[in-house]
Amino acid sequence: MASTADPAFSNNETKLVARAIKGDDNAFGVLYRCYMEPIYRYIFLRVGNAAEAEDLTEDVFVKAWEALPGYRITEHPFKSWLYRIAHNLVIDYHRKRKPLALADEELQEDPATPPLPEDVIVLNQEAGVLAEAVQRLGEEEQLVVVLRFVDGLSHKEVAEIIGKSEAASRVIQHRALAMLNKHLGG
Amino acid sequence: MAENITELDTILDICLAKIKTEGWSIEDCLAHYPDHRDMLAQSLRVAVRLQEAQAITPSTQFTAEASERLKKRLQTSRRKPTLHKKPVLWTFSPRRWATLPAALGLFAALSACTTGVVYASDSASPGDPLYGIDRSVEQVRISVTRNPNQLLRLQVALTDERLEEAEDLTRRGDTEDLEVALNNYDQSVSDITQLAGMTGEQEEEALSQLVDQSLSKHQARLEVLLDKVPEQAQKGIERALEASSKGRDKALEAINKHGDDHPGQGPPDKEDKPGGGPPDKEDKPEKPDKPEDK
Repeated sequence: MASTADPAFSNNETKLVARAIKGDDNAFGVLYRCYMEPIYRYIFLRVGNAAEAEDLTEDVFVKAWEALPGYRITEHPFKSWLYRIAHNLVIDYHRKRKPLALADEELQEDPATPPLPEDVIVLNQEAGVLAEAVQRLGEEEQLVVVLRFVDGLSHKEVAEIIGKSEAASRVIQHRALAMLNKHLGG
Repeated sequence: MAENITELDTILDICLAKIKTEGWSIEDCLAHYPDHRDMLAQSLRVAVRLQEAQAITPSTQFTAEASERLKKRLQTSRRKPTLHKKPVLWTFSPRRWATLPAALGLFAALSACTTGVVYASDSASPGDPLYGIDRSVEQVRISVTRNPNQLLRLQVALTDERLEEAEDLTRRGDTEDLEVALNNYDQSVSDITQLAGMTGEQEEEALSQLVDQSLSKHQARLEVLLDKVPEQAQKGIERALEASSKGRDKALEAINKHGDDHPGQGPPDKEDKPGGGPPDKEDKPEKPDKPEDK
């Protein structure tokens, strides 16, 4: 959904958000379709479990729906606002849940599940390794690298989400990449 | 230190863009920026690996059921939906769910017959017993189409079908159902304008042409209908004409917005060779003019 970064979409998005604020769930449905995947990716890399990430993704949008009357279009872009909700939910999730050995949990095969194609297995394994490395970073570092490189946000957008300057976002990114490189055995 | 980070970050963005759009390798980038080689090497390797995670998607089952599940959760959430004027891209109404098995069967049959281009091949119109199934098949198609450009193409084809339905009902002299068909047409044009704002820059010209030609033809066909329908149905046709004309303008504006709002956007350096291949090792390193967000 790279198109969500386009100005034409932003213009349209504002109208959809305005309709959703008034209670139009159809408009919210369009927003959900646009942002479901990036929000899922963001959550997956921070929790490392596909099923949990799917549930949390849905929770993000339910929370957003409930909080929409308090959302001010002019204050923050809708996308940044959604990521903030996702970020808070991930923090809650980690608070409530004791850390598990991610790779084991994620990669364990269910005997009832049919075998996956090889490329999917490779992708899942790689994603699991990456998610594990990402989760070893501090919360802020996780947020910045995933938003920047996985979801393709600019430093300006990231700065809005983390509530810091663009320069701070760059510094955090620099630090996070160095740490990730170490965690990934670089 | 901060300046170094900013410069390195800018170079990193340039390299990632080159890798993505021009097929550079990590080694090509490092050779292009020998002064930053050591720092860039570790950042770039990790960043490329992170970007590969863009392929991560939710399961097919989750995606297929997501809209309906969320809709149900919204209905039981602390804040109830209040407006239902536009059944845009949500999936099914309860009545339509009843036709889902038949719709899926029909969809499978249609998928097996078509060659990738979406044509509206069903012929039921509002008031026909099979019409609910037709629309359910369409909803299945919409819900499995994830590429915004493809979604727009599909919506254009479906809008064409809405008009065919209106023409069919006019031939049959069914003015009551014609009103429903024309409302559906207006809604479908509105969906085109909405989807036009979500398309990517690729295929901009082709999509503009498709929308322009389709809706222009619709206006001509609606003009023909206007002469054929009784007076009480003319208002609906006039409204559809207006929706088609305004919808066309809005959709074209939305599609072509990319060109207006991204002047000169693209790979950051302009000194590369035509063809944009990987750099020669003796190429001079690029010095970014100023740090910019990607």
